[in-house]
Amino acid sequence: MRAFAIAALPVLAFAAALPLAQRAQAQAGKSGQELFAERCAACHVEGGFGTRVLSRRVPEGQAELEKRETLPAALTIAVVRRGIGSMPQIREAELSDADLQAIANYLEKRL
Amino acid sequence: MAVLPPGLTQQAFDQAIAEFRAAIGEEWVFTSDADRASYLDPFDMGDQDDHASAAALAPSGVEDCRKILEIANRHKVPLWPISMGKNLAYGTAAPEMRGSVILDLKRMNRVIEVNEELGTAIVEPGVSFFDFKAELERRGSGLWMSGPAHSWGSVIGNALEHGVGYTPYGQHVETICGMEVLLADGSLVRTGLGALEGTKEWQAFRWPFGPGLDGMFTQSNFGIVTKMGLWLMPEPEGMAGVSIRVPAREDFHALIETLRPLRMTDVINAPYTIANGWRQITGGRVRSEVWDQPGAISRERMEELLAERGQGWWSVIFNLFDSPAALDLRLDKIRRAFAEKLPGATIDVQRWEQGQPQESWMRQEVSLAPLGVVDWGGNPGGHSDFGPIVAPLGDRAEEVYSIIEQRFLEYGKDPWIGMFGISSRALIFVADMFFTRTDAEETERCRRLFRQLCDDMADIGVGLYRTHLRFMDDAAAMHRWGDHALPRLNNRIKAALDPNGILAPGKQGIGSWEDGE
Repeated sequence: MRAFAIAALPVLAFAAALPLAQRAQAQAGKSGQELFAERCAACHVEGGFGTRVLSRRVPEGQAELEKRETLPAALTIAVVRRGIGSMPQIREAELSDADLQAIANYLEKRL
Repeated sequence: MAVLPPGLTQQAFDQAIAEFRAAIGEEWVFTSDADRASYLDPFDMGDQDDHASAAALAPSGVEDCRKILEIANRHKVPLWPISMGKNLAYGTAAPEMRGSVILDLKRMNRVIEVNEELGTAIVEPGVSFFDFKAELERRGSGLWMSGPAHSWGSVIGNALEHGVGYTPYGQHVETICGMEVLLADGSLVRTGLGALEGTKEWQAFRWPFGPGLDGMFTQSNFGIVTKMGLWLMPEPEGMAGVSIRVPAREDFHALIETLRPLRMTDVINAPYTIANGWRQITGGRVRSEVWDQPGAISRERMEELLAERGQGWWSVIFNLFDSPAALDLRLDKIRRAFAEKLPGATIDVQRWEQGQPQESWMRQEVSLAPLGVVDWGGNPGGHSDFGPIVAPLGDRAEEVYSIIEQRFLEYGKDPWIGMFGISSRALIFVADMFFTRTDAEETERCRRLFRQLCDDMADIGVGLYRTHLRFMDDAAAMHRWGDHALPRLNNRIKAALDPNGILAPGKQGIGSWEDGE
């Protein structure tokens, strides 16, 4: 967890400054789980390259995002908007705040 | 901290932003620090803030773009158009000139047409390779996309930046056929046969009556490409995936001389890739696991690691596309050529036929896998590459390779060098620099290495196929012939089409190469 905890500090601070306007609704009819599958799963499921890279940085069993014990929504939002490690950032014009919030909520609360 | 376009006061910029909001809607004008940060280059070879934007605008279509251009011209606001903004290693979504306003075309994301009979399509800038593949599958298309190494980018953006793929259509700029381009003054032009009202041939033939202009809108700042036609490959009857291990460093000359005639005669009918030893030792681990000394990983250590993996000093990979019987003939010619010129080489082949499940070696699946190597050298990792265009002649390729390898070692960087056999007559070298982004000494050393290599290559008449934002002026200035006649012509075209200089200032050094960084 050490490497991830170090990386998490500045992005959490950044998250607090994010103006997450709630003006937009998540894509009609799509749940956070569905949006995760659509927008994130190419890398962040078992065997995905994101999971493989994270497996070098986080404790065993925590690399797959949907199986991580704790994943605060604010951290997901900050990492997505700012990027981390090998992952470039994703901006609002390509993933709306509402969709990102739905994905982050799903990853935070699914357990 | 606020970032302003050069020459504008805060008050003048605020007025322009207010007008942009009124023109395209408040929610599509991004000015917060967090929003602007999402357009920085995460892999920059230096301080990301050097290429910070002042704001971002996300138009919904051509009419929004026209409104933006009118306002930008009036207020002298520089715009930096991006499509998917995934020009990773070359600047991502960031502008060359600090204080530019991003013109984010992601919302213009329609696949306008797929023509199964002619094997053509028309797309908008915001269509990614992920999107395009999904749309072809949704339509049950019999056409295949040629994708680059990572699929996050824009189909248009990749072609305009001269990106490459791994099918017979892998030289993506060569698949462009017809564009719709918005010029800085707001006029809309269709190139090629698209200039004919009611045309059915816009995507069928590149050359209209008069000059073909598609090329001048690639790697340039002469206009905003709002639609692009492209050619697509019909699904082949079969494929063969060929992997060749070549044992020794000294085999490079013979390797190039063996591959060229095979590519020239279309026996190898898609781009091949060559990887040197350093490039083959990275997969599945990070650098600190194999090297804990200062400087580059030594050749001796690299060769130990290669031996552990059973790999040759050079690796060559390519796919062949044809009917099963014709693939047999192609493979026979390849085997005979290598048996004659490089008998020590080992050739492995995989096969696929229509109807069988696709496999990863076919490179038909959309993927982001190459990003996995970014933190090879340290975390947070960054990367860029030096990419000279070189004739596939043994002597010439050896000359260029030796200079690059020597310079990388001299500057303490692993010579992570590969080549694309992009066409019959050209290799594109890809010499990657990986660095820890927070290490100021290392990033500065990489910048010096890059500029040293620019000088080295210009001295022997070799130019670059693409660069990161930081080196666009350097790369443009390498074109010295005739007292820089070509860069000067580009400047003149720019001045004529965009007298206020609002479109992508600094792009490819056009209009800025004489000033440098």
